[in-house]
Order: sequence, then C-alpha cells, then structure tokens
Amino acid sequence: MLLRLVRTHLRPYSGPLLVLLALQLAGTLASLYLPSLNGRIIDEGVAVGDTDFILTAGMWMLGVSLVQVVATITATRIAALTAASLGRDVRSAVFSRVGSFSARELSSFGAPTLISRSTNDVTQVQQVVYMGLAIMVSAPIMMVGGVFMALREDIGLSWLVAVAVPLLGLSVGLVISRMVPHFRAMQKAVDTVNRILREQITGIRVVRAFVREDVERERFGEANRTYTNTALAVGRLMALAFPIVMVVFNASTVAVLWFGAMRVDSGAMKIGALTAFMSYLIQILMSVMMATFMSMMIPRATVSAGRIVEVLDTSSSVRPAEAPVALPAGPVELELRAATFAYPGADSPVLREVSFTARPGTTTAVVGSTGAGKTTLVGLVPRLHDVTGGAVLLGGVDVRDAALEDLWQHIGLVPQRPYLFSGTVASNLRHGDADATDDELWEALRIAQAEDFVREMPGGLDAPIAQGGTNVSGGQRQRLAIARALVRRPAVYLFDDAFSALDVATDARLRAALRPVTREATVVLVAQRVSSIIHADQVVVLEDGAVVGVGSHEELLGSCPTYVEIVESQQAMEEVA
Amino acid sequence: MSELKSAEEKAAEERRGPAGARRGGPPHAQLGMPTEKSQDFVPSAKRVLGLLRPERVVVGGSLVLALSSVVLNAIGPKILGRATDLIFAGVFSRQIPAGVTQEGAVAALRARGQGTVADVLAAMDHVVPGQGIDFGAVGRVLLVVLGIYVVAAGLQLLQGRMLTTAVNRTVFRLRRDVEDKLNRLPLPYFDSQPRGELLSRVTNDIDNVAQSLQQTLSQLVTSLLTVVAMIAMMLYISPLLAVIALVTIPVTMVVTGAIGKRSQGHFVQQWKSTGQVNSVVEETFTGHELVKVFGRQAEADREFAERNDALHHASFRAQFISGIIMPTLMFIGNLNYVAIAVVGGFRVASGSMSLGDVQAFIQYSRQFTQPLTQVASMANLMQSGVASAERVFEVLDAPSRSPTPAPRHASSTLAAGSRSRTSRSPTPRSSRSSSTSTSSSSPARRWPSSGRPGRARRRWSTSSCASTSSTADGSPSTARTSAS
Ligand SMILES: Nc1ncnc2c1ncn2[C@@H]1O[C@H](COP(=O)(O)OP(=O)(O)O)[C@@H](O)[C@H]1O
Ligand SMILES: [Mg+2]
Repeated sequence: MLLRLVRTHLRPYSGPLLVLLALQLAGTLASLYLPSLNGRIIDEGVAVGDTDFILTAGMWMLGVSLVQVVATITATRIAALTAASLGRDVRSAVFSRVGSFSARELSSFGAPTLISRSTNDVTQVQQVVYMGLAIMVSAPIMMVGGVFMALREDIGLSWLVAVAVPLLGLSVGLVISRMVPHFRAMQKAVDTVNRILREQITGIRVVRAFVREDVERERFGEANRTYTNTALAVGRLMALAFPIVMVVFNASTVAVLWFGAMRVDSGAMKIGALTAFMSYLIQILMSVMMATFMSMMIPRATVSAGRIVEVLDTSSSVRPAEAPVALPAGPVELELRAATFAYPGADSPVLREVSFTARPGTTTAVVGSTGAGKTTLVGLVPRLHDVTGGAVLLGGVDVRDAALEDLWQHIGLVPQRPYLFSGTVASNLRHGDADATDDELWEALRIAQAEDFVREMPGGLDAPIAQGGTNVSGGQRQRLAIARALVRRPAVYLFDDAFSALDVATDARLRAALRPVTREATVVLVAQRVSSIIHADQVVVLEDGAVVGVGSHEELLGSCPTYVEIVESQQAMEEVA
Repeated sequence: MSELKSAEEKAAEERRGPAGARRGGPPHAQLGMPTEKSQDFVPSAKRVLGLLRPERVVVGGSLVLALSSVVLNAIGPKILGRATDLIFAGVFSRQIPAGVTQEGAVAALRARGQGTVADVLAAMDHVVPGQGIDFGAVGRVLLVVLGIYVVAAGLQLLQGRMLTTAVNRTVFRLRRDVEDKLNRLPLPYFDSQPRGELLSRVTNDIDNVAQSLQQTLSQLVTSLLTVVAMIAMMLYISPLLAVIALVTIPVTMVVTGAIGKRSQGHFVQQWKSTGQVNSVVEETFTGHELVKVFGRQAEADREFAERNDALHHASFRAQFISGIIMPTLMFIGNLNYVAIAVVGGFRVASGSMSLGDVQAFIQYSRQFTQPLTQVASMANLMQSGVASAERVFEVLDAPSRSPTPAPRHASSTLAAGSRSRTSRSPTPRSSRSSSTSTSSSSPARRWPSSGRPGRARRRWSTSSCASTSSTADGSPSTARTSAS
C-alpha cells in the first residue's frame, strides 16, 4: 500500500529524484573516501615520516568533506521539497475525492476518520518519504560502498563484515520487532486511560449523583496499571536496544584489531589499511542501524497509506447525469415512486417502496419514530444518496437525470444537525444565494425568527460565526440554517426536524411567518410536534422504512394506529415539558 | 485516537502540539513542535523531581550505574589505542634485525637521514627487534577492552531498566493522584473552565510529563557525563589536540543557534498552516451535505488549494532548514577530524604522540559532539515538560470540595504538601480572556478556545525535523547518527 501510493505520487518528481540519488551517491562516496585518506596519512605519511604528504592528504580530506556537505544539503533540500510536494498532492487527491463522495460514502467512512485520513495520515506518509529520501536512501549506498571499500582495503578481513552486519541487523531487528506489538498495546492503553478520564470529566455530574466515585476509581486504577505495565515493557526493551548496539559495535572493533593484527603481522595488510577498515566497518554498521531504526516508521506509515488508498479507491455512488435534463423553472411537484434505499452492506433496506406526491403550495409532514428513515428519505431528493430502487421525480424529471447544480438550485435544505461554516452571519446566509442583498438577508432572518438575536450580536450580519456554528446556541443555529435556506427562495423546502430546538411559541411564529413565502413552494417537513403536523396538508407516516399511512391529520387519526400512537406519545411529552 | 477528541481538546492541542508527537522518536524528530515556556521553571522543576522522591533509591542507583558505564565507555578507546600501538610497534620491530637494539635502530635511521621515522620509532614502547607483533600482549589488551565494553553495556542496561521503572511508577502515581483529585474537586471547578482545557491537562500534559521525565533523566545525565568524560580523556591524552577539538563546542553552538533561529519562524508557519488546512478539511467534511446542496464545493476547493499550497511551502522550508543541522554538524565534525588527523599525524611523526593515542583521540572527538547536541535539544523538551507539569500541578492544587473525604490511597498524599498553595489555581487564570488566537484568516475560527491561560508566554521551539504529527511511535532515541 505504502509503496503503491508513494510510487504513484512520486512519478511526477522522477527528475529531481534522480538528481537526489546522484547527490546521495556523491555524498556517501565522499564520506567513504575519508577513512581511506586517513589510512593513507598513516601509511604514507606517519609511518614513513612524510609530513608533506600528511598536509596534502589533509587538504584532500577538507575538499572531500566540503563535497560531502554540499551534496548532502542539496539532497536534503530535494528530499524536503519532494516529500512536501507529495504530501500536498496526496492531501489534495483525498480532499477532492471526498468532495465527490455522496452522503452514502461519507457516512460509511464517517467524517472524523476522513478528516484524519486527509491530514494526519498524509503527514505520516510525508514524514516517512522524507526520512526515506534524506536518510534511508543512503543506507544501501553506504552499505554497498562500505563493503566495496572495506574489501579494497583488505579482502582477508571481509568475512568480519559478513558476520557483523547480520549480527547487528538481527539483534536490533529482534528488539524492534518485539517492541512493535507493545507500541500498539501502548497506544491502546493510552487511549483507554484518556477515554476514562474524558468520561469522568464530561460525566462528572452523573458520577457525583450516583456516588460512583469508587467504581470509577477502580476502573481507572485498572487502566492505569495496564498502561504502566505496557510502558514498562516498552521501556525495558528500549533499555536493551542501545547496549546491544554498543556491544556489537565495540566487539566488531576489537575483532578487526585482533584479526587485522594477524594480517598486518604476516605482511598482507598495512596498519593504515587496518584503521581504514575499522572505520568502514563502523560506517556500514551505522547505516544498518539507521535503516533498521527508520524501518520502525514503516509499519505505521503503511497503515496510514492503506487508509488513504482506501479513500482514493472509493468512488461516489452518485454519478452526475451524462446528458442532463433541465428541471422546469418555477414551482415543481415532488414525487417518490416506490423509492427504496439500502445502505451498502445492510441486510434490509432503510426505505421500502415509499411513494407519495408533494404538490407545490402544499406542506407534507413526514412523521415516524427515530430510525424510521425520515432523514434518509429527505436525503434522496438532493441526491445525497441515490435510490437503490424506484425513483424520485422533481417536476416530472428523475433527479438522476438532472444536473446536480440545477437540482441543488431548486432545493432549500435545513438538515437535522444544522451546521454553520466559519465566517460571518452574512457569509453563511449567502450560501443560499451569493447575490442576496443585505435587505434580503434581514428579511430571511425576520421570517426565521432570527432577526432579534442577530441584531444583538456584535457586528450584526458581520458577526463572526465559529466553525460548526459552535458560538451560537442550538436554537439560534437552527434558525440561521432556516434563514440560509430561505435566502435561496427554492422551489422545494426540506426541513428535517428543523424546529426541534425551538420553543413552542417561536415554532408557531416561525411557521406563521413561513406560510406567505412558501405559498408557491413544495414543503416537506420532518416533525415531531403535533402542532407542526396538524396544519400540514398531508401527513406521511413512516414505520421501519415503509409508508403505513398517508392523509390529513384527521383522516390518519381515524385510520392509522401508528399515527395515533405517535401523536399520543408526543402529546404526553409536550404536557410533561 | 484523534477522532475521538472534542473540538476544545483539539484547540488545546493545537496550542501545545499533540502529545503523541512527543512520544518517542529520534531526538531530532521531536523538535519543531511548538513548546511553551513554564512560568516558574526552577520551583516547578524541583517539584517534578520531588515526585521522584519515593523512587530515590532506584534513581540514585541508576545514576551511579550511569556514571560507571560512562567512565568505562570513556576509557575503552584509550585502552584500544594501546592495542594499535602494540601492532604498530610489532610492525617496526620486525624490520629491525634481531640483535640490534631499539636505540641502535633509531641511530641507524638517523644516520640514513630518515629523522622522522627515527623519531616515531624512538617514542615507541614494546619494540622487540626481530620479533613481529606480540600477540599475547595484543590479545590481553583486547580481552580487557572487550570486558570493559561488555560490563559497561551491562551497567547501561541495568540503569535503563531501573530508570524506566522509577519513571513509570512515578507517572502511575501522578495519574492516580490526578484522577483522585478529579473526584474531590467541587463541581463549579468543572464549570469554571472549558472542558477541553481540563481534559488536555489530565491527558496530554501528563503524557508529556512522563515523556520528558523519561528522556531527560535517561539522556541528559548520561549525555552530560559523557561530554565531561570525553573532554577529560582528550585533555589527558593530548592537551593540544583537546584544544582543537574543544573549539568545535562554540562553533557547534553558534551554528545550531543560528539555524535554530532561522527555523523558528518556519516552524511557527508550518504549525499555523497545518491548523488552517485541518480546519478547512474539518469544516468541509463535517458540513459535507450542505457544502454540496448549497454549491459551496468550488469555494471549498479554492480555499483548500490555497492553504494546501501554503502548507506545502511551510513544511518544505521547515523540514529543509531542520534537515540542514545534521549535515552541518557532520561537516564541523569532519573539519575537526581532519585537523586532528593532520596535527596528530605531525605529532606522531615527531615522536611526541603514539599512533594509538591519535586513534583513541579521534574516537573521543567523534563521541563528544553527539551528546553535546543532545544536551542542547534536551533543553526544549525539559521546558515543555515542566510547563505541562505546572498545568497538572494547578489541578492538584485546586481547592477540594468540602468536606474533603479522606484520601483513599496512602500515597495519594504525594502532592499533598503543596495542596494548600491555592494561589495559582486555574480559575482566575482561565477567566482572563485575551483573545490572542494564534492564527487563522477568519477571526472567529477559534472562538471557543481563544483566550486561554499562558498564551502570551508561549514559545515555539526550534531545531530539527519538521514533524507536525507523531513520528514513529518511538524509534529509540538512542539512534546515533552517523558521522563522516
Ligand atoms: N450510514 C448508515 N449506514 C447504515 N445504516 C444507517 C446509516 N445511517 C442511518 N442508518 C440507519 O437507517 C435507519 C434510518 O435512519 P434515519 O433516516 O436517520 O432515521 P430517522 O431520521 O427517521 O431517525 C436507521 O435504522 C439507521 O440506523
Ligand atoms: Mg432523522
């Protein structure tokens, strides 16, 4: 997954990457050349007393160091730029892919995970790509080059490389591979501890009210112990890693000296070559170690890459019409014709053969218990998801045959969870209609019963709105969302439980104010309150995704037991409230 | 995990950097997070150390072990140098015909005009004319060295285990005390501040304290000791070369400081850009259906592209600047290496120093720059750890509801001594509301979280590796970076 994602997105940067490779090669070769020069200082300078040679070789070493630093820094620059570009490209790909999703894909992933996939996960991948290009790439070069140089110094000692490298790789690898599952356990333990604390803080009143302190303390104590034990296990393994590395390094040095001494004694090797060989071995081991430690980042980045690819490989179930049919201008009739909808993977459909017609100038109330499918039904109209059977028609045109922008232009949606975007009151309202004048905005606010509190907000229409609208109350958010739909002056209004956070009086005033503006519009209203339903021209009763009754309030009271039940339970609730 | 976080927590995190980011990772990868300054570093740091009091025996023992292993590791190269000398001497010995004395050979060389070689030979010990390398002696030296290294590693292992035990037990107690305290805080306390703030204190901040304690204790002490030991050994072997090597200290400091200063702005920018991209993503995805139905997609795309580009630029700069530090230090190290090789070569050639000593010296000079940079980078970690600890202490120090139930755990009185100090309770602080939102093009974006305590004191850390989110869960911080 990681490889596939990275390969695809690195393709545009193959030019710079080649340069990077060349630079890393140059830098690595330069750093490999240094010990060999030092060895020659000993053999050809110190041992024979040639001080001129020492000086010349010293200058050479300086020059080589300079080459090395320039090459490495340039390579680092390319690595940083490439990784950042890859991050940008992947982020952008994920963002636009999610942008194309319908509500169906979005809800099957869930917004929070999509958010972290397009931010944190991308950062993970970007980080590992940077590490790979800046550091890991040079490890194999160093390894091959180091082996080559070491062998050039002395073939007779080469078996030491063959022993030390796997020894180090294996021992470090073993420690790391034992650490990885602990890391996972650790993450889980941290999450548990933090979750319990979060629950305790947010639910502090419940804890106090039910005197659950001891239970909570016990629960937390358990999690805290688990966490500590896992952290201890990780800590102990970590404490093992470094001493092991040091022992392998030092033992290798000692071994080189011992076996090298024999070769020197037999005249097969010069003492400078021995020193150089030692440096090479250390360099080789160093790169093995770096590569092994860096490889710890890979499992995690692979998980991230998998999560990203999963998004990129998903395509929207709502396909734009190929040859769009224009929807009629002006008032339109909404018709559901045996509309059926099933969530992917779900056994039974959420909506089953729902049929009804909502005419312009009328209000259709949709009622039903929680989970009956009301929100799903509303979402079919703007194609947040498409029917899996039957059809939804607007002005006689199947919504799937209309252009999406055309369709949306006809609809004013107030969703169950009113959401406002960061900006100002005005910028939010103008999503309904970008060209609306301030007067039109005030008019919409007046109808939505939002005029008073907006006037009191600092700046009025220009009052800031926080992301999600969290800086206004739930009821205010609902009214602003209604105003936003009103600004659009659409042919079809879809109110999904849009008055739930309003008190009964505001609710009544709002509905009264709505009546004149929606005189020609088709209104579909999901509602709980009996008072909202009574005045509807038509009530559709949903139960488990199927229509069990259509008619006026009075008709249904006589004919539909489910409706009677709903009305009674609502009235009971209202009396309590 | 981040998926479960509330907006408030995220905002709190945004100010401090995700705790996960500080968990593990090579030392150079943890920098570059914004860190903030503590209010009262010294007393708070003392109090943090005070948390370790119940573990003082273990901590003290581990310090002794650390000292011993550092000393052993420090004398290793010096003894190894003796082996090189023995080999070198053997090579020379072989060339002198048996029966000729060392002095005789030196005189003969001088007579032939090979004065320099004569000097080298004259300064040598263990010259047994006619004989080759004395393998018995070499073997003994090498065995001693090997023994020293193995013992040093063993001590280090033991030290690491003891320290991690002490730290984790301490953090266990701290967590338990905080949870205990939560149950004894009066309800108004919970209402007096945003929930996310409190949550962040009891989760992220404690995690950060744990992390900083572990890393500073295990690395700061060893690193400092190593630097001292290496300098001592270098001075012992050759004061002249030591002076050359020590010049690198100020040079390293100046260079790291200069790069750090430059990178600071880039990190702040990267942090800000990340936040801005995240907020547009969050907004667009959360309000997905409205984005669609109200035709906001194009606007969202444009906004995203803009911020994504800014992030691209910022993260490139930050990563590049921080990436420069390592090669630069490596270059300084190489300059040092060349200087020592050349000057050392002259000294050996003039007979005033043995080859083995030069070799040992090179090893020392390599080993002392690395812990030096580690000490420097540790400063940031300590700052941020103590700042987190202060926030945790504020929770512990808040007045309990009355009547205070007797503490259930005997040792939950760990922090009780200071509980009476209520002057720094967070309540007055969080009511202070100065709207200094860190970034954001639109003024309202961080409304709910703005005006939190300590904002003005916040600083952004410098130096390497521009990781904005967690790096690999914990590539051991012991990963030494290769030089030359
Ligand atoms: N993303 C989804 N995946 C699977 N099932 C879902 C999804 N969203 C809603 N459902 C299910 O569909 C049914 C109808 O949901 P909904 O339309 O929200 O009901 P209502 O608005 O009437 O309360 C519920 O049983 C719910 O569990
Ligand atoms: Mg619903």
